[in-house]
Amino acid sequence: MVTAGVDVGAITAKAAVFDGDDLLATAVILAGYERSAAATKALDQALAQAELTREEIARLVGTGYGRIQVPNADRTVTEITCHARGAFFLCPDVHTVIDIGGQDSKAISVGADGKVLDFVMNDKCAAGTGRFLEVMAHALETDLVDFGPIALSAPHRAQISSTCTVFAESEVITHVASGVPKAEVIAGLHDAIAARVATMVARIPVRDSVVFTGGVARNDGVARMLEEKLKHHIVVPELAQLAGAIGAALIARE
Amino acid sequence: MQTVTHTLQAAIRDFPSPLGFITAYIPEELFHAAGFTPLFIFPTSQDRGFARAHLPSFTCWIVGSVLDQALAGELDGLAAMALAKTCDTTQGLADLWPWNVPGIPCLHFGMPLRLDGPAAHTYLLAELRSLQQRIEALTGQAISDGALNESIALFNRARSLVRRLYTRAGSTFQPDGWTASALYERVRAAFEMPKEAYIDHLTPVLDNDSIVIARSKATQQSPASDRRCLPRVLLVGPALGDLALFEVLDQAGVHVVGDLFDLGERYFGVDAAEDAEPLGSLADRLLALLPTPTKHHRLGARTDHLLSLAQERHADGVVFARQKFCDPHGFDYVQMRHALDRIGLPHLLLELEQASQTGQLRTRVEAFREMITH
Repeated sequence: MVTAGVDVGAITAKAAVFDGDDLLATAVILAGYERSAAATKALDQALAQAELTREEIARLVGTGYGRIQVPNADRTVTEITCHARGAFFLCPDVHTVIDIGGQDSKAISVGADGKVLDFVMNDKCAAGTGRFLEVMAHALETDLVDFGPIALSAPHRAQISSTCTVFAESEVITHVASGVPKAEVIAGLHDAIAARVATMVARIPVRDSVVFTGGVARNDGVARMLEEKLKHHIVVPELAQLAGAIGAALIARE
Repeated sequence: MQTVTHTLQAAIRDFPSPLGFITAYIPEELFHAAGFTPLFIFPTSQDRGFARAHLPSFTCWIVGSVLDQALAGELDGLAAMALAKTCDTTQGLADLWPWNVPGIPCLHFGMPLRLDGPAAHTYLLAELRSLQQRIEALTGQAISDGALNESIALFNRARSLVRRLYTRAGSTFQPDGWTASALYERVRAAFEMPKEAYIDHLTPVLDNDSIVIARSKATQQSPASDRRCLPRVLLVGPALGDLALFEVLDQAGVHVVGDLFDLGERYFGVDAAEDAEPLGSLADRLLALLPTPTKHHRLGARTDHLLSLAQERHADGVVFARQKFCDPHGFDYVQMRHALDRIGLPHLLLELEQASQTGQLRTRVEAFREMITH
């Protein structure tokens, strides 16, 4: 049976297509303003890769912030449930999922078969989300892709004390004006986001394996600094950003 | 069922001697016997900014909104405002009120902090006697024991109707349209109109629904909706929650089977004795209520009650609807959460602010429902 999952997030729309247990194709595109169009485009890209048509999809599940905007979805399921299920597919011994997306972050305690046992979320504050890193990359005129490696290369980390993204940006400008090397400022920012997320994660039991999902999982600097704070090894699957869409497609079978 | 709703301003305009109050520890019967119509001042989502000039930023919106409405003139017409020392913030409001809302007299009394202490009843009775004298001075009329006993009987009748509402809500079979939103609109209505009108309105509705349910069970046909497939949840929080939250719960597909709201089941669960000295009877009732987190009582009283209710109602989960900056409810949450973890009952913590961010609430509530659905 062919199933599909579409995860419409704050910044990107992701799609995954399965045939039974086999992952056939995935797609990630920028969501933009028109979420329905982005959902359609992501799904069409994945289908094209899999050489399938819409009519061949038996069931479609929408998830993410824009889940109600996924056209023709048979069901909508929250991204919490989908990320747990998707992380379980990518890493069957997962017990804790840390998901950092564009505008929220969450920690999920996962049980057998990828079921959610408990979860905590931060969706009220940009600090601790991908948005934080975007704002800072812009302020430092640095490509976001380079942020993680630069952070890990710095010998020291500048202190970023503000918990607010807006005021942290002011601190960054102050550091730069004071001559603090850019790499150390970037390292300090990564330390700040890791500290903020770790505080949230500590509200649920942290048990191995700890799997990191969401777009920010591609940032190795955040992943390594989270490991430091949590004192747990963190697994970053290759398809980390697609965990939600993968989970949605698998749930579509049920 | 058609619900009866009044805007607060219409209630102030239409009902005799309207009295505003914001805590469960007000002896409404005493005010009613003096000719007042007690009306609960529910917080609104609109922040006009007036209260912010007087209150610290960490003040809960339950209190902040009342002051905001008062300073905006929206409570003009109230004959009086009744406040009891429920917490530090309500005490602060009682201090601010005469300075900032001089047109509405404030009648304030001290509810004891320790409810199970040997002096609690003596202290509270003295406070209620003092309150009675101040009410009589304001109205110019004495409150007789006879009038007070009649008020007690009336309020007991109204409370018994609300207990029937809760029994209906916990039932697996209900007439179509009975949802968390419907339940709490009806419970809330008890605080938005004279008790006489509330009783007249609700009694035939409850009787009719009973007929509908019995008929549906006998014929196995609609309009009774079978809610057996929905996960059963209890709600915990201050005041009476937030109507937007109930809509989110309904849309997510959970069945609310009871609560520990300060103005919810625990408030309606205890009557005042009708065959005793009336003021003492009111004091006994206030002391017998399941305590709010702001009061000292046997350690674990609220937690034990929650666990007992969860077992009795076959709850699948508990939703804590905490008002931002209501720290006493936050203190209790830790003990309650650990107790629920020990028995393996899932729970969800929501933090509500003055304006409900329904998108964020919806994600959490839906995820919780997915978590507890078997």
